[in-house]
Amino acid sequence: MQLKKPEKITIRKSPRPGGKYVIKIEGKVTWTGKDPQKKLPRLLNTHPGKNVSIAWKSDEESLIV
Amino acid sequence: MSKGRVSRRPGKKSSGARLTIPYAKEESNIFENVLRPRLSIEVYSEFLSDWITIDDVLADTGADLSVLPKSLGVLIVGDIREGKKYRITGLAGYSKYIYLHRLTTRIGRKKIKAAFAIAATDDIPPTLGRIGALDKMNIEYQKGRRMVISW
Repeated sequence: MQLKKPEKITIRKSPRPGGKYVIKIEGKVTWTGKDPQKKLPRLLNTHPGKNVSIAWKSDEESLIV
Repeated sequence: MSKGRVSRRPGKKSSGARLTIPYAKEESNIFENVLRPRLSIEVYSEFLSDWITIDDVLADTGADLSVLPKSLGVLIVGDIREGKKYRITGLAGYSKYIYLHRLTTRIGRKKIKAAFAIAATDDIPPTLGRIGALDKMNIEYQKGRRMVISW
């Protein structure tokens, strides 16, 4: 496994990174944002029968422990 | 709808199936790339009366419980505070409040009811843990490249 150069390593003060949501329709990113609570129901209603999915992405690249 | 390839196991009962999930290549702040076991699951939303497909859920055998971030939890159950409130602690020492709910999920062709911790915040990734979820399946982690789920 290839290590990054030390200067690229960041030390986080907050215990956990923030995140954002990504909504895809048929695998294509349709929306990205912090609050999917209105967007997802709307997209499910306007795209019946389509493969609508949601994912959560971390705001920063970090190791998961 | 689970990311991965579902196949029937020859010679097994019709309920038996295998789901092969290649690891996802992701960046980290220490290594150039990290391969992680991520899969798609479906969770039935009582709130929307519909199935919600959640992509890139981390299959984490080190997690006792499955976890969802707050907004996803709201989309699934409505008022997350209807679940019993607990405090959980992660390996890195952080702790946070969660509400415990029992959710109906589909992983591949397998439908299971499992306890999920819905976090009171949005800063935690969707994770499939052992109790009620990974413990109900046979999982083979194949040399850091893929995992094969069978049941």
